[in-house]
Amino acid sequence: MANAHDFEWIQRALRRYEQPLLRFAAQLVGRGQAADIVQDTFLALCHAERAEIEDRLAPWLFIVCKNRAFDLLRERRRLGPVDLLDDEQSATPPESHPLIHLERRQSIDRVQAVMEQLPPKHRQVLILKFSAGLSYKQIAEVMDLSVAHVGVLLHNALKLMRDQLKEPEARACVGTR
Amino acid sequence: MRGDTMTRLHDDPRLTAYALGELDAEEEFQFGEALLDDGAARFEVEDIGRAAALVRRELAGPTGLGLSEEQKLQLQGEWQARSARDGVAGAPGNALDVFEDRTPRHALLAEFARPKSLHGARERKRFAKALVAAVLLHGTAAAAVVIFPSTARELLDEPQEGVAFAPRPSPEAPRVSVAIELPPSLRTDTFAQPPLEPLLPPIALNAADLAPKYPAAAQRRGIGGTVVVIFDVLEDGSVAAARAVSGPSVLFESVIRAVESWRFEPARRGGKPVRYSMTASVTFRLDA
Repeated sequence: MANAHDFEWIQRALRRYEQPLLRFAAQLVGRGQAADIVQDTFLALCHAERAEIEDRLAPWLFIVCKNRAFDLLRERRRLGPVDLLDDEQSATPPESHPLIHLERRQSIDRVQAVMEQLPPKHRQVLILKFSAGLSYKQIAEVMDLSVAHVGVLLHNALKLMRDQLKEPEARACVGTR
Repeated sequence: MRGDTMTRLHDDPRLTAYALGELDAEEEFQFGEALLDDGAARFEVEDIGRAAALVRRELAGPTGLGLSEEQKLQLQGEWQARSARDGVAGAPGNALDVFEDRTPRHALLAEFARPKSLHGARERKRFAKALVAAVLLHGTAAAAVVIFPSTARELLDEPQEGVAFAPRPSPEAPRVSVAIELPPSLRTDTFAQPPLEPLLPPIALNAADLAPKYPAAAQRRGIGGTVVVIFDVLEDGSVAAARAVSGPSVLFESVIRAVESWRFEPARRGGKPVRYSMTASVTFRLDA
């Protein structure tokens, strides 16, 4: 049963999960449509039974978000040839081509650039773990993988991050646009 | 044994799990013990922890993305629609208080939250006074909203009594009843341009004859319930972007297929057809 006062619980979910969901959606469908996907997710929350999902709210939100994103991707493919920029692979903005010269930038910029180079699943577990704060078990539920597999993905993702972030000067201007 | 531990630890995902506190208590203890004798592995753990901290800091930053004001208002509207459907009276005014960002514009819109018609003279006077106040306080942008209280109603209100009808039961499943309500929802382009005329919502032309089928498998398993579906009615009266947002998922496909076959007289503003976002609830019940 819903009433106007319970809207506070939707608001709380928004405050806590809007940004992580946007990150997650953006790397699936691109920045342009991330807000729509997240909007759909919270619309679904408005119609869900609070008592049923309250103690697993975070994985529930990300599963719904993922399904909406896949629906959109399927819809795009169904509609025929699409602008490359809309394609799943191009969720990374064009200016983040790998090996773009990593000059003396602040470390945050480098982290961003390196993250965008990662394969999709590795990026997703990083977002779910460090942006959304999900546990291995919750991440496994969202991504439909075993906990062990999640552990391997996270381990490799962090090692990739660590390796890429070392010795920035040595990596500068290694590649070209 | 110790040599094995050392080589195994070097590329062991448990290093990361340990660094992130994801091992269970017993595993964590044993791992910690093994690390005491393995300097290289300890260094790995610290290094992974540093990488995690960098990533965490990066991901805590703003994305530059966000739900728009109108999207947030739509969530409120959906919540109120759902409250009404559940039969609990949602107080029209107080839902606005929930958003901390209480701008004067919201307060002005609240003035028109109660469903009223504009036909009485007293109503027209009241409305004219509010219009003047709006112009003086907030300029023409707000006045545009004030002029068209039907628009304000769309934004805020409990759904108007939508068209409710029970389609004719199909002969092959006389024990099943499907009830469809079509409360008008918020327009998707409400803020795209200043509204010029009152909005007429879409009129369902054939939904009564095209009820979703109750899948046999779901009936056999006794699965019923209410599926809520959101969709757009386009300018030509066809349906687009139908998506089910709640209910038993085995029933989604049947509902979406039916909704996609519905035709409407499109929403009109000033006689011109416009795109309109709607919500329908389809209830599947196995009658005894």
